[in-house]
Parts: sequence; C-alpha cells; structure tokens
Amino acid sequence: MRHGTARSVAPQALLSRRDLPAEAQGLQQAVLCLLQFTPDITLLDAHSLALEVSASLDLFGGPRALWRRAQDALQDLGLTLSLAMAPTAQGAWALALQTQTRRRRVLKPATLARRLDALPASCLPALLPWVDWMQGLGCSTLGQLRHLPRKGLQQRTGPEAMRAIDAAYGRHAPPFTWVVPPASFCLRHEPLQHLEHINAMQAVAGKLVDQLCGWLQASHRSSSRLSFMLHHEKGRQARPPSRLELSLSQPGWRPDDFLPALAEHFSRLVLPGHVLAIELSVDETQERVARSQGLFPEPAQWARQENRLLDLLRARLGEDRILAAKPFASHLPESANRWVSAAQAGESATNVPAPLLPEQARPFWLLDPPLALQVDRHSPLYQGRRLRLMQGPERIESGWWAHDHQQRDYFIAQDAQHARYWIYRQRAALDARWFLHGLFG
Amino acid sequence: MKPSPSLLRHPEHIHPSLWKGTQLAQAQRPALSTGFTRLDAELPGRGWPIGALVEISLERPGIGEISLLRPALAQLGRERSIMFIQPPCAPHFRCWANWGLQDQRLLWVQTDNLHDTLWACDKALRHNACSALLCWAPGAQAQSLRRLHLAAQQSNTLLVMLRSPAEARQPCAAPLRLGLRPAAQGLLVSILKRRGPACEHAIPIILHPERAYSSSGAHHVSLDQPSSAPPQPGRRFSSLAH
Repeated sequence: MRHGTARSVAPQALLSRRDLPAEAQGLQQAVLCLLQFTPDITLLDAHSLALEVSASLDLFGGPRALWRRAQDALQDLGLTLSLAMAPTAQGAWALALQTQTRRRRVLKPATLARRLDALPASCLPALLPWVDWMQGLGCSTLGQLRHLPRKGLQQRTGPEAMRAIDAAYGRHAPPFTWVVPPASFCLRHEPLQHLEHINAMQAVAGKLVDQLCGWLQASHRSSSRLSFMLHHEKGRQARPPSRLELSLSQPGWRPDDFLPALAEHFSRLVLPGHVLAIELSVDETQERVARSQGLFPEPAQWARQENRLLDLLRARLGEDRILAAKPFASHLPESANRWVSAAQAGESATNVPAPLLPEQARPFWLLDPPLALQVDRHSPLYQGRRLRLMQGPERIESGWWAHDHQQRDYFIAQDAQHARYWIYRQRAALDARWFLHGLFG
Repeated sequence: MKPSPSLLRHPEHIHPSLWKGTQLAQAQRPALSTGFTRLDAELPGRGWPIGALVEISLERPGIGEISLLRPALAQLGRERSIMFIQPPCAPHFRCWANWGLQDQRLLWVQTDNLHDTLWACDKALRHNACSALLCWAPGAQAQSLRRLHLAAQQSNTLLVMLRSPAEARQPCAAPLRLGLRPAAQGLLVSILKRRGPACEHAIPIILHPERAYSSSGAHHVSLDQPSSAPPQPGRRFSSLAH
C-alpha cells in the first residue's frame, strides 16, 4: 500500500519507517532468550521462529507450562508475538496466523489435520504463487486442495508446493538447520527512550541477563563475571561509559543466580547522566558443575547458600566489609589479629599453629588502636573507673628489627564493677604510659 | 465433655504450645544448651531457642557477653559460619582459637548505618546461611526487630541481638530477653522476659574462677621473671603489679 493510500484510508494512523536492523536484532534476542528452553531453534523466515521442544516438555512441566514460560519470556523482552503449538513445524507456522489462542494449540496429528483443512491455502507461503490458480479451480482451503488427485496437482504446481503441504500434515519431515549460538556473548540494548531511573536500567539489564542465561543454557556453560557498560550521551557532551562489574563467588547460569546481586549493584550506582544504551558482555565462561538434587542439606549446598549471601552483602556493603580472619604469625596482638575480605581469606584461614593459652588469657574484643589511659596515683583510670591489676605481667616484646619496637607488659585488670580489661604498659617509653588494648567480651 | 482435672493441670498434654503462667513453656524446636546448668534450668526448652530472636542487653561491650554464648557456639555445626554484624570492636581471633572455636568460621560484617545492619541481618536469616548470627543494632525499632524475629522463625539460626539496657525497657517481640551485669568471677544474668513465670532472682554465671590462675601456671607462658628485665631507675613496678 502506498503512503498516500494509507493516509486516505486511515487518516489517524501513525506511519513510521520500517527498521530492518531492529527487526533482526529483535529476532536475535528472541532466539537467545528461547535457547533456555531448547537448543533446537530454526528460522522459518525473517519473522518466524520454530522450536523443537519434544525433549524439553517433561523438564518444563508439560506443553502448557512451557507455552506460558516462553510467552512470558518473550513478552518480557518487549516483543509482540503470536505463539502456536503443533506436531509439525509447518503446521504450527500456519496455525500461528489464527487469531484465537485456543485454535493455535494442537497436540495430536489428527486434530492438526482437521484444523489445517479449514485454513485457506494462502497460509502456507510455498503455495502463494498458485493461489490465484487454485481460486480458479474453486479450491480455497487446504482441505479442498488435498482432495484433488495428488499426481495431477504435483504436475500442475511444483514439487516444493507438495512438499510444503506434506510437511504441514506431517507426512514428510523436512530437515532443519538449527541456529548455532554465537561463540562469545556481547549484547547491546538501545531502548527507545533515554534511561534516567535506576529501576528502568535494572529492567533492561534484567532482559539482557535473561538472554545471557539462554545463551549459557544452550552452550551448557556458566559464568561468574558479567560486565555491563552503560553508554552515556555522545557528541558535544560526550562522557565515557560507566562500567558495572558483577562478579559472583560461584558461577551461575540461571537468572536467579545473577539478579539479586545485580539489583544491589544497581541500587548503589551513581551515574553522571542518563543512559542511552546498555551493553552486556561476558569474557569468561566455565564448564558447568552438575548439582545434585539431594533431599537433605549437604555441605556443598550450605556453601552455595553462603556464597549467595556473601555476594549479596558484598554488592551492597562493599567488597572489604565482609571480613574473615587471616591470622598472621606475630607476637603483637594487633598485627596478629588480621582480618581480610572473606573472598581472599580462603580455607586455610583457620589453621593457626599458635600455642593454646588458658581460656581467659586473651580478651575477645580488641581495641584498634589501643586507647591511652589516664593515670591517677599510679593506677590507670578508664572512664573515671580505677583499674585494679589482677593478673600479670605478661611481657610481649616484638619488632626490634624494625622501627616499631614494642615492649609491653600486659595485665588483666578489673574495675570496681568486676568488668575485666586487658591493659598494657609501655616499657621503653620514658614516661611509662598505660593503654587499654582489649575487653573481655 | 468435661476435660479431666489432670489435663487442666498439665495443658501441655493437650497441645505442646500451651502452658500455664506458672510453668515454663516447652520449646517448639529443640533448644541449644547454654552450657551453664543454672541458666538452662530457667530457660524454656532448657537452652537458647533456635529460630527465634534472643535479646541480650548490656551496658557496655566487654563484660563477658561472648563468653556467655561460647559453649553454645561451640556446639553448632561446622558447615555453616557464625556471623557478627557490626560488632562494637574488632573480634580477637586468638581468643576465638583459645576457646577451641577455630574450626568455626567467623565472619565479621561491617555496615555504615542501621538500615544496612538490619538489611544484612534479614538477608542472612532468609538465606539460612549462618548457624549463629550476632547483631549489634543500636537504635533499632521494635517493628524491625519483630520483622527479624519473623525471619528467624523461617530459619535455623541462633539469632542474638545485643542491645543497651535503655532499649531493654521498650517492648520487643523477642520471646527471650536477658540482662547482663558484670559480677565477681563472671556475670549476673537476669531474665527480663521468657515464656513462663517472671524470674525475680539473677543467675550468677562463673566465667573466670579466681583460683584458675594460680593452678594454670604450668600452661601459662608467663614472663614475670624479675631477672629477665633489669630494673631501671624511674620505674615503679613494685607499687603497681600486685
């Protein structure tokens, strides 16, 4: 239809230019997303996809559940679609043109044949060149066409027309070339509007993660590092793109593995301006580790649960705020009591070959730095309370080889309320000062 | 039908969650023994409840609050870690190892504000990834504590909130609330709230018996030998160290 004709028929219609690259990109996104459900996807034409799902039906809980999940996944991508289900790919393609959802779902070949018989011949693209000729014969539906003598029909049309009819009715299975997922994953999404709100960006990033999960599923791999590039304004007010790295302590391949931590990363994000496009790329992938579905909790399951929690906490609080002990061989308590980020501590953190002391010889809380105490009549004071020395001295002397030579006499002291303190006196200093170093928690 | 008098005398036979005001409630889940017999005898279920909020109020840190929890922490399974959220000071790992807890993985979470503290606590409970969770959240509202208590009920975690005595006077959803005071050789634990009759007397807990020091001299790496450090003028050791 011409531009002018369209305007005269429907003056209120909004005309927009067809965007072929965007259509191709939409189809590509749909393929990546649908790879979650089956590895066998084929392109029927520029806007039709066929999925072979017979092997996936049990895993996703039957045809209806799979239908719903595929529909939800594609609608989340922002695509408008018409989904049909049939025993043959060509049959499903023909049924997808039906308006009623009920008429687009067929599971038995006999029902499919009945449904197809009622359809016009033009719904199979291979028959389009002969539609006028068929009209002349008085055959408008596929059913009427099938009643004609097969040999004569083949002579008058062509072998491809007969093959299309046979493929739709399931008498002939044509070979398909399945879509091969790309070797590396890098996807860019350019929304129609500029993104100003974090929530909108998060929604777009969620779509990208969905497609990533489809890709990971297809290649049976998993990933622990995702990097997002948020592209800002170009041209005169150009800004370098912002980068968001999501790194997990264990590789994941389902949207649930990535999305909670991603949401926390986004909530912490401070951006210099609005975002024009979001790009997701994955640099490294790992072989997927098979998980056992045990009835009772196993140690590996606890570890997974803890890793998920730590990823989440790290995303919001920061990498160095979740600490695990990594004791250092030193006599000085403050250097021995080393805490590092839980990701770096590793498993060997708890192997301390230090001699065991009596249970109450060391305080549980360590003050860092030690608090200088006032002295009144030769006894130290803490918050106005006089400390009485109960036990000691225990001499700790270290660091003479460095500039930081510490000579300390440690005592356990008690105040009038019987709370206990770990205090020390500096021996080397000219004025022997008292410090509070620990509290017996 | 009229219930028999023995059933009314023991309502716990009708349903485990029924109890009379004069008796201690039964725990719905097995509790974790505190390691102190006198304290166990006063607690419903004879120990720390698992999957419930326990509130411990103390005036200042360092009066023996972790020592009180130590026997319970030592009993916990090794597969999950113990998490401290926003403790008032740095935990001393040497002391943790001295207590024989070096196989328990201790995680220390630092937060910037109260909101993050409560969020981290909530997430840890919902993931059920910690065997014990000790949280310091000064200024937390009763409403958020109630939320944490509900989250704890879905988990398998020993959740302890350490609060100040001023906050202990406000209402709180915790089914067990204790107050700690330092005392000679240990602590005095007063039970502020429990499922059962009010507990008037404070329970003494002995954490560091006096005589343990004199007898443990053999294991002690004490360096109080007068000959090793030559006396220097200007030091007043003798007046201090006794």
